[in-house]
Amino acid sequence: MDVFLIFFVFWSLVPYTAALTLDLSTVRRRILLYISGFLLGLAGACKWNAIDTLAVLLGISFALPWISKHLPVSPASSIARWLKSSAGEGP
Amino acid sequence: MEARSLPPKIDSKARLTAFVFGLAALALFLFGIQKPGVRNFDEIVYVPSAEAVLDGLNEMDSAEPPMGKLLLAVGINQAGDSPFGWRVSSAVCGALTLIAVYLWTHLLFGDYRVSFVAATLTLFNNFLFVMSRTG
Repeated sequence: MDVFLIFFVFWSLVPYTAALTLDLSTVRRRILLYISGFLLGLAGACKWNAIDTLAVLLGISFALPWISKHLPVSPASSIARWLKSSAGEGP
Repeated sequence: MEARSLPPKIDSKARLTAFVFGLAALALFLFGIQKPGVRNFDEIVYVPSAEAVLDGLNEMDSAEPPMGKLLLAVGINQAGDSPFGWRVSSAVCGALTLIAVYLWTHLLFGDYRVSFVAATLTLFNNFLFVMSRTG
């Protein structure tokens, strides 16, 4: 049964990463994040262990923007570009 | 910022490679999957729960949420209540997981070689191999 958990977790990472790295509109980015969250929910519906993964993912979601604001990050990094595009400064 | 510095989208080459990896994984995971002919590992607990779902009984074990048992029940419903039927859902999901690994690493690094190495290492990962052959 663990493979079902892994299956949903990895497939949730695909739209999550696409939302962060690809040059997409805000609407599409949001839809991808919704899909990612839905798939992660399905992972949690397979085994309780997915709750741990959810906690890690939430931690990363808050840590990455914080790091990019407070620590020197290459402007070419995907998170830096994403933050710029989110702020309306273009890709 | 130049557009070419962005990671590439998942193009047809990446999609095709991911598909081939999925097929290879499915072949590897399904090879001899009917052995052993008795329930082992988690199958002892979860296969009876999946059978109860198919029989319309409300006798699932409460140790884990029901989604995984429903997926097991789909495999048993389609392939029969046999060792192959107990494990086929896991094999399919394992193969699809490998496709996800390839696409994910391609999105992260935008490099075909890195994605290839990641998917190859995952294909021969013992954990994925065993779990994809266990119901």
